Amino acid sequence: MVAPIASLRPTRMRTAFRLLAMTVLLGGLSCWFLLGAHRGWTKNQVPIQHTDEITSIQYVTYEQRLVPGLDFLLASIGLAGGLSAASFFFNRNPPHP
Amino acid sequence: MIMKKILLVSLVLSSVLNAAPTSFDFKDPKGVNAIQFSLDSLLEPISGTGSGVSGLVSFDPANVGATSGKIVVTTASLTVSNSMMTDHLRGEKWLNAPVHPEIVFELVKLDNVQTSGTTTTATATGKFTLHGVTKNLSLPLKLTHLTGAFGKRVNKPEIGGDLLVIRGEFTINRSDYAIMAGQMEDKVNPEIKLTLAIVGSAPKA
Repeated sequence: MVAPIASLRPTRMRTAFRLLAMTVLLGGLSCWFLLGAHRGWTKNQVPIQHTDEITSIQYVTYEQRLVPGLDFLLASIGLAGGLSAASFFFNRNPPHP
Repeated sequence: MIMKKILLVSLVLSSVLNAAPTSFDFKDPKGVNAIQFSLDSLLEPISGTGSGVSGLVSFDPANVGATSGKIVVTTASLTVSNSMMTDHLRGEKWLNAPVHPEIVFELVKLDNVQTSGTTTTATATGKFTLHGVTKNLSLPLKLTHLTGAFGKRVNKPEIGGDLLVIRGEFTINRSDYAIMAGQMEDKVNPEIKLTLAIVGSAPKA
């Protein structure tokens, strides 16, 4: 009726790791795309250009805002790949004694 | 006779005083001053600013060639768009800000001085110190002398005083200043482009 816990745990772990991998991959991809699909480095402070009226000097201030870059996307893909690979360490059918 | 002598002496004194160079303070009250830098890297150029600018420049519009002074940028003020990169930039492997806290340009002389109206172009020669290494450097500069503009800029027109704007652009090689010399050149270009646009103030009470 009820399967022994020992036989269920690896399967559940396997599924959990794969779901987590999928979440990380989709989350990373969505985050990168929705926050600007920036193809450079990740920024966590964005430069804003201003001009001083009297001197015409152009200067920069920084706005605290996350703009994920390609490094963020690659890290998400790598983490998802790692979690997916780790799921294979849990056997679908563990050997019975 | 005595009155004539007094008048003559005061005239000479006043002309000497008027001809004296003015000292411009580059610690900007509006916090606009910064040196901008850019170096090419793997994904895109890494650009940033160094806002901790200070220094004094002695400038005489009647004798621009005699301009002298020193501009200092604090290494710990260098910032890029990514805080982890900023930490690396200021860290031990790159600029080592705790050990080398200042980047300094000491102006020795101005050559090829050409003045038109309030603007002067010249070639500045001086000593540039970065990462504890000092080298002679020549760079083209544009100086703009804005007479009586200080008060207007700080929204206090009753205060007199001048502004001196210095603009320049030059390129250095990081290996000349022992900054990760010969390392990571495939990821971070050895050439660093520096752009200077700063204003000095000389308020008059």
